[in-house]
Amino acid sequence: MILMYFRDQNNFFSVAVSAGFPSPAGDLFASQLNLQDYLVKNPNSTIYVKVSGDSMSGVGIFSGDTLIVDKSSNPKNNSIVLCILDGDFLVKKLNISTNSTNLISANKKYEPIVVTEYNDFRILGVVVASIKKFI
Amino acid sequence: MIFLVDCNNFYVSCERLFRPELLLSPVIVLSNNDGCIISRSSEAKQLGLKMGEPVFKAKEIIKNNNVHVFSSNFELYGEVSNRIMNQLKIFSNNLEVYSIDEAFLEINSEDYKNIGLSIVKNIKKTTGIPVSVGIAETKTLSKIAGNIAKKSLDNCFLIENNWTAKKILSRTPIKDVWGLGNQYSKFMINNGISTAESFMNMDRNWILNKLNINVLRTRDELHGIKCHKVSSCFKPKKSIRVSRSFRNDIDNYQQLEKYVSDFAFLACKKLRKENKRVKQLQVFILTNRFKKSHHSKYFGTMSYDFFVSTNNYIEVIKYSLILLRNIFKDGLSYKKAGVILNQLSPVDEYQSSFMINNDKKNDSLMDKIDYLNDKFGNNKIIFSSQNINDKSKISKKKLSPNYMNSWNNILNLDI
Repeated sequence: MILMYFRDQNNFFSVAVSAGFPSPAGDLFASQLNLQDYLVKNPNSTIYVKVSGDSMSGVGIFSGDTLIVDKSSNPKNNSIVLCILDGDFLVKKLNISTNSTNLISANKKYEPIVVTEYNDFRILGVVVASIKKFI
Repeated sequence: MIFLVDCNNFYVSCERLFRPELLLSPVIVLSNNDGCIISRSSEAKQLGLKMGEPVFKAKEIIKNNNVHVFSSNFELYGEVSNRIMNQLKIFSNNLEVYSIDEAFLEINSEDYKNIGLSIVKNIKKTTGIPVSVGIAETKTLSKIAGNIAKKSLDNCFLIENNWTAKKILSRTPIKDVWGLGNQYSKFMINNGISTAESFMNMDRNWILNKLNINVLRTRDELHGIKCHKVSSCFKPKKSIRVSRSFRNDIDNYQQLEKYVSDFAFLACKKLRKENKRVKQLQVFILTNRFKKSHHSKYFGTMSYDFFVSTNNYIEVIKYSLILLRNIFKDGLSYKKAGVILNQLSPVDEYQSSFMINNDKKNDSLMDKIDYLNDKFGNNKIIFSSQNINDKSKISKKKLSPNYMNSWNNILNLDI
């Protein structure tokens, strides 16, 4: 074993360098898996919200889950969106037909909401993922 | 062309991001100690609330019109600002972050107006913040274009050529010209120059003789001659200042000492974060100027030059307290105090002294303090002269949650 001394700003420190057979993985620098890379495509436009209520249980969104919402993503028909209806935040499935826009819950208990021109309605972003922690 | 991107009522817009029901209501944001109004929604402007106005003077208007009041939440504003600046990079790599809510971009292409419009649209969509874009040949002109953009419907204004510039400048009061400052605009007005156009037609030599090169540059910039580049490199701070207004006036020396220790500690912490040393230390204290009844008004300030510039908490705090002892007058009640660090230099560039034993022993102690505070949360390690954990110091009664910087504070929705 060889001891090598390096110097940083304040201290000397030593690194042990073994003189045996070099690790076959030594020159492959793979980065660790990073959840941010996996879940967040556009960090500048992504927000997180914690939800409660059972209205979206049909698509697997339950009370206590944390949603990842991308504001830059364009909503399509059947996208799950975070939107504002008359000043209230809602998470619903977007249903656009030729003559109306509907917000549909993923739970039979709740009626669809029809958006009319008299509503103040804005889509804030598309729900990209839901995080559920067990522990 | 130079694009100035400026966020509209930035702090208010940030607060509205997570409170959409306030979109059309009057909203204001207060300064650090809930003292003055520092950001107003357009509805609040219409009610006659003024920028910088002490909030107690506006009490009636706020109460009668149901104005929503927020304490300043700079963590939130900083995060939103970072996102906007990052997002702007998709339009140009040549980007200068000018302030928390303003940036200059240099873009060379055709169809500038359309690029401006897509910036407005893109930033609104991705970050939720409304911005205005002023486009012109120079920074000074883009500032003027930006002012017009703010009032226009599409939030974007282009000064295409000298001819449009001339038309606009004849309607621009001299005080609205960027970079002139109050004193010079007063000087101009006294000399019969009231619009940007008449300033632009002043004799160059006269300006150089009577005023200075910077004023001349501003004049040239109005002609479309680029004097100020868009520089994407980080501009180092020239000084660091930590000051606060106290919620209740302080007449007790011991208590003031604690606050000044806090300010010195925080200033030194900022200094160390930026890898700097300080040469000159300044402390000031101020009595309450709104209280007419008792005592004289007093503003005490004094500075001290370190023999060897320092970034040591102990030294900065120690000398701040010595300065305080020299400026403190008994029998007055103080409203505000502050610590200012001037003449900053990079941490490894300093003039040492043979007179003084340059004590490096403390360096590692200082590093440990920073390390522990970073690891276990702010201000876990403090000096005994401080009282930073006394929450009564800063009043932030209407603080919004830190929606974007803490998992515990993210928005909770009932869906």
